[in-house]
Amino acid sequence: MGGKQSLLSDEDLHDYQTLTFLSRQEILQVLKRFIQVTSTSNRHEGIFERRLSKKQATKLAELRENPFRERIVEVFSSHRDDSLSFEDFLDMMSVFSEHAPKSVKVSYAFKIYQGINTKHRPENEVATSDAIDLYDIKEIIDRLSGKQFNDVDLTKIAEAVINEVDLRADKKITAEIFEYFLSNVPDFPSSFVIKLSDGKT
Amino acid sequence: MEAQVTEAVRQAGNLQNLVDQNGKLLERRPQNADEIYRSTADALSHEFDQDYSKISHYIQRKLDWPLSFKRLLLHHVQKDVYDNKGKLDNIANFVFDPTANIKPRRSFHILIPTIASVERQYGSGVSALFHLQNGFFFINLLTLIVWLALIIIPYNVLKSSTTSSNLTFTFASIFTTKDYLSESNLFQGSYPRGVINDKYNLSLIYLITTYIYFIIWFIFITIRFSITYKRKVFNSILSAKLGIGFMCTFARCDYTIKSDKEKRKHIKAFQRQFLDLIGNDETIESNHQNRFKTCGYKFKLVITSLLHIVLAIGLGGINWLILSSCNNPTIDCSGSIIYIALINRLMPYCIVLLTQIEHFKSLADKLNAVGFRCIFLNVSIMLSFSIYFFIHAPPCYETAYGQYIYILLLSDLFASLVFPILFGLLFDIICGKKKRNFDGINLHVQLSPPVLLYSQFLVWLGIYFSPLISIMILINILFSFISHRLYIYIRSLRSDSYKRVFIWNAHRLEYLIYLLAYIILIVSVTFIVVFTTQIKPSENCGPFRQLNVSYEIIEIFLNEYQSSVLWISIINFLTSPGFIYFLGATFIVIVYKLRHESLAEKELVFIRDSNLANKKKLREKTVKKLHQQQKNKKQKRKPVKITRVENDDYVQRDEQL
Repeated sequence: MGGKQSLLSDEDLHDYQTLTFLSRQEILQVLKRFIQVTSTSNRHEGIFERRLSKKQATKLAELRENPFRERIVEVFSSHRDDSLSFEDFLDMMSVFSEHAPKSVKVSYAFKIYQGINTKHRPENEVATSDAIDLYDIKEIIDRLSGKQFNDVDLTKIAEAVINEVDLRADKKITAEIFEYFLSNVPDFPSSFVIKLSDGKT
Repeated sequence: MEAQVTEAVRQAGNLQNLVDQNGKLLERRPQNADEIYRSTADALSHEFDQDYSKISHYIQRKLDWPLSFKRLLLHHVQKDVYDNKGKLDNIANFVFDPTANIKPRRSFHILIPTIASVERQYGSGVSALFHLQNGFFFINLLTLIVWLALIIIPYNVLKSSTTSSNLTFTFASIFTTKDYLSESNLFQGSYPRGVINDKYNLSLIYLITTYIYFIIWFIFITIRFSITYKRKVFNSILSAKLGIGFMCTFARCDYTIKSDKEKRKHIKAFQRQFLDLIGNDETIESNHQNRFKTCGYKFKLVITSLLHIVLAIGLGGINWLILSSCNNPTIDCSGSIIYIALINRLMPYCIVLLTQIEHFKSLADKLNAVGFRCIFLNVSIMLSFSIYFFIHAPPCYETAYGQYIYILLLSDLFASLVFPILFGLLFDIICGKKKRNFDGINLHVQLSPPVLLYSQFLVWLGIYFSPLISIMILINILFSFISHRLYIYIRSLRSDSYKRVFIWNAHRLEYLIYLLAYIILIVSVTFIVVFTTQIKPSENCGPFRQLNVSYEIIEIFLNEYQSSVLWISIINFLTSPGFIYFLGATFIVIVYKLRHESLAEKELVFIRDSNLANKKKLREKTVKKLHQQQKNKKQKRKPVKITRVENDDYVQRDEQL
C-alpha cells in the first residue's frame, strides 16, 4: 500500500478527501484499482497521465452488467473524449459510494438519464437540454427491460411514466421535477451504488 | 424573517446559477480557465465570508463539476482564504465550530438494506410492511426502557432488602404464567404499596409512567400519521400515480449488480413491472369508464360492512358466553383463551378471502375494507372480554388480566412465526398460478398490518397490568420480520418467482396503517382512562391497593405538595386523563396544518416550474426578436452595398450608423 500512496502526495490525498465522499483508505483502494486496470495500456505513464478508454471502462466488473455503462463513462469523462482519468474514476467511485449524499446521487442520476437517447430520434427531434424527454425514457426502459418491448409498448410505457410526473403537460421531466420526486424515494441511495471490485472477477 | 429567508434563497439561487454557468464556460473556453476559477472562488469566498470549511463543503456537495476542475477551484479558494486570513482565524474557527471539518455522519439503518431489495422486486407497498415493523420495534424498545428505568430497576434496587420471593423459576411457568412468573416483576400485582414508599413513590411513578408510555405512542403515531397523510394528500393533489412507473424507471435500477445471473433476474423484474404499468393503467381507465355503471356501489359496501360488524359483535357475544361458562375469567378459562386467539388470528384470513369475492372500485377501497373489518373484529372480541372481566373481576384481577394478555401474546408469537410462511405459500399454491391479483404477497400486504396492530393492541391493553409485556411484542415483531422475510426468500427460490405480482402503493398502505393504529390507540387509552378513574383496585394486589381508584394517587400527591400553584397545575394537567385527548386534538390540528402545507408545496412546484418555462419562453422570444431585427438590418443594408460603388460617402455614413 505504501507504494501506491507514494504515487499521490499528502496534498493530493487531502484534496481528494475534502472533495470526495471517500476515506483515505478508500481513495488508495481506488488508486490501486485504477493502476490495475490501466497497467496494460499505460504502463509507463504517470498516474495523472493514464487514461481508461470507454471500451476498457465498460468492461470493468464495476460497470460490466450496468445497462447505462457507456453513459456513465460519458458523464464522468472530464475531457469529454469518453475516457476516464484517475480523477474522473475517483469522482465516479465517490458519487457511487455508499457515503455520497442523496442530493449528489440524484443530480448525477439526472445527468446520466438526460439526453441518453442520441440515436433513436426522428430527424427533426433534437434532445431536450436540461430535461428528460419521451425518447430518453424509451431508451431507459429499453435498456432496463433488456430490449424486450416493441416500439408501441415502449411508447405506451414511457407515456405512462411521464404522465405520473408531468406537471406542465409538455411530456418532459425537468431537473427540478426529477429531483423533487426522486428525493422522496427512500431506498434510491442504497441502489445507486457501485462497489469497487477486487479485480479478481 | 420571511424577507431574510427569501433573500437567502435568492442569493443561493444566484450563486448556483453563476457556478453552473462558469462550469459550462470552463468546458467551452479552457483558455480562460484561470479567470473563471478566480471569479468563482471570489464569489464563493464572498458568499461564505471566506469560511474555508463551508466553501469546501459547498464544492464537495453542490458542484457537479469534474473532480479535476473542483480541485483547481479548491486551490484558488485556499489561496484566497490563506491570503486574507491568518492561521489564527482557523484556530478560532476550530474553537467556535469544531465540527466544521468533520465529515457528515453516516446514516445508520439496521433493516433498510435488506428491505431495499424487496422494494425493488415487489414495490414500496411490501417494503412498507417491514418499515412498519421497524418503526414499531424501536418505539416498543424505547417504551420498554422507560418502564425499566422508572419502575423495574428502582423497584428491584430498593426492594431487595425488604422482600424476597421463595418461588423458583420453572420453564413451564413461561407458558402457564403460574407460580414464579405470576409473582415476578412481569405483573402489576407483585408491586406492593407502602414497602418502599418512603424512598420511592412507586404508586405515583407507576401511574405517571403509564401516561408517559401512551404519550410516547401518541407522539410517534401522530408524527408518522402526519407524514403519511401529507404524502397521501400531496399525491392525490398531484393526481399522480407516482409509484411503479417513475420508480421503476429512475429509482429501482440496482447499480450494485455485478453478476449476469442477478442482471437477468433484475431485467425480468423490470419487464414484469413495466407490463404491470400498462396493465394498471388499463385497469384504472376501465374503472373510470365503468364509474357510472356502479350506482349501488356505496350502498353495497355499506351493507357488506354492516354484515361484518354484526359478525364481529356476534363473535364477541360467543366469547361472552364461553367466559360465562367458566367460574372466573382467569387463565383457567382455557376455552375463552383458545377461542380469542383463534378468532383474532384466523378470522382475518377469512375476512380477506370474503373481501376478494366482493367487487371494489379501487385498490384503496379493498385495502381499507380488509383493514377496518379486521380491526373491528379484534376490538369487538377484546372489548367483550375486557368488559366481562371487569364486571366479574376475580381477586387480584390486575395480575389475572396481565396473565390473560400474556397468554394471548404468547399464542400470537407462535402465529407470527408460522402463519406468514404457511398461509403465504398456501395461497401461492392455491391462487397464485391462476390469479396474480391474489397470491401470498397480496395476502400479506392486506393482512400483515392489521395483524401487527392486533398484537400492539394487546400490549396497549395489557401494559398497565403487565409492565414488561413490551418484551413480548419485541419478540413478536422479530418473529414476524423473520417469517415474512423467509417467505419472500422461499418464494424467490421458485422458478416462477419473477412472474407478475400486483404492486401496492406504500403511501396508501402506510396511511391506512397509522389511521388504524390511531383508532385502536384511542380505544386502548379510553380503556386505561376508564380503568384508572372508575374501577377500584384490588385489596391485596398492585401499587394502588387500598385506594378507591388508581388516579387518587395524583390527588394525594397534590395535597401533600401544595407548595407551588404552577407546579400543581403542571402535574395536574400532565396527569389528567384529558391530556391524552388534548394530544389527540393537537394531532388533528397538525394534520390540518400539514394539509395546507402540502397544498402550498404543490403550488411551489408549479410556480417554480412555470417560472422556468416562462423564462425560457421569454428568452426564446427575445432571441427570435433579435434575430429578426438583425435580419431586417441586413436586408436594409443590401441596397446600400450596391450603392457603395456609386457613392463612397453614403457608405461611410451607413457604416457609422
